[in-house]
Amino acid sequence: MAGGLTSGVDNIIRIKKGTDWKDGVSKSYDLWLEDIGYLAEQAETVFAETEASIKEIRSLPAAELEAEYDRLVRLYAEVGF
Amino acid sequence: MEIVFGTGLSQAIEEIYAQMKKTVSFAGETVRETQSLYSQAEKLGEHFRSRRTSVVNMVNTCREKLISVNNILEFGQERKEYWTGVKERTEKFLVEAEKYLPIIDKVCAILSKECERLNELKASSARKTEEFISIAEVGVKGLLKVKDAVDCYARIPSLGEVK
Repeated sequence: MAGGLTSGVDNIIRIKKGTDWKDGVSKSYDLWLEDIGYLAEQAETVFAETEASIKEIRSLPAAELEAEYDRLVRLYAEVGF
Repeated sequence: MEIVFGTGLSQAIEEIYAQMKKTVSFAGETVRETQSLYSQAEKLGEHFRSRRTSVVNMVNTCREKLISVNNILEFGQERKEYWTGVKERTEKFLVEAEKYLPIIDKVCAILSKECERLNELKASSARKTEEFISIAEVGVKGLLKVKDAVDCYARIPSLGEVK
């Protein structure tokens, strides 16, 4: 999910660069682009951390633990109190 | 008096507007996705905690029963073979459960830490995305005003040509 915000802002910069703007308007939108570019980068950092956290969770041996739990339940049932 | 804007500005603003709409919608989707991932991780944590509780309950029952079984074997005379079998199976279960518990404890601890982290990230991504969207909206509104002006000048060629 990371990369969408900054690439969106990059696309806007590219579109703007390919067009002639009146100086005052151009400068004001350059500042705006700087602001949203900075915010996009910050949001991307958060998204990247989220992805790292999800990766860590997905690497947990969930299926093995479930199989082991089922085996323990069978062993417990076999005790025969 | 300079009122002539550069060529293709109106079209470029339309493209920027479309691109920004797409980016803002992506940001919203990403925040929703983060929230959904957090919910999934939280559910997984609850699931493993409940598995752990279930195994701990079985272990406790087995330990209690083992005391009774040992008493029966020590003082009772009947069905010795049966109770020896029960004792062996109980001990086997306890050995296996004691291998399982430290692993699930570790997994529960990791999940708990990651859920805490995801909870903070969820709040942070929502905050940063909201900020992004609000700044984006301000800029886009301004751009649309510029576009209106450009289109307006384009409709009055005599004014657009004035320098």
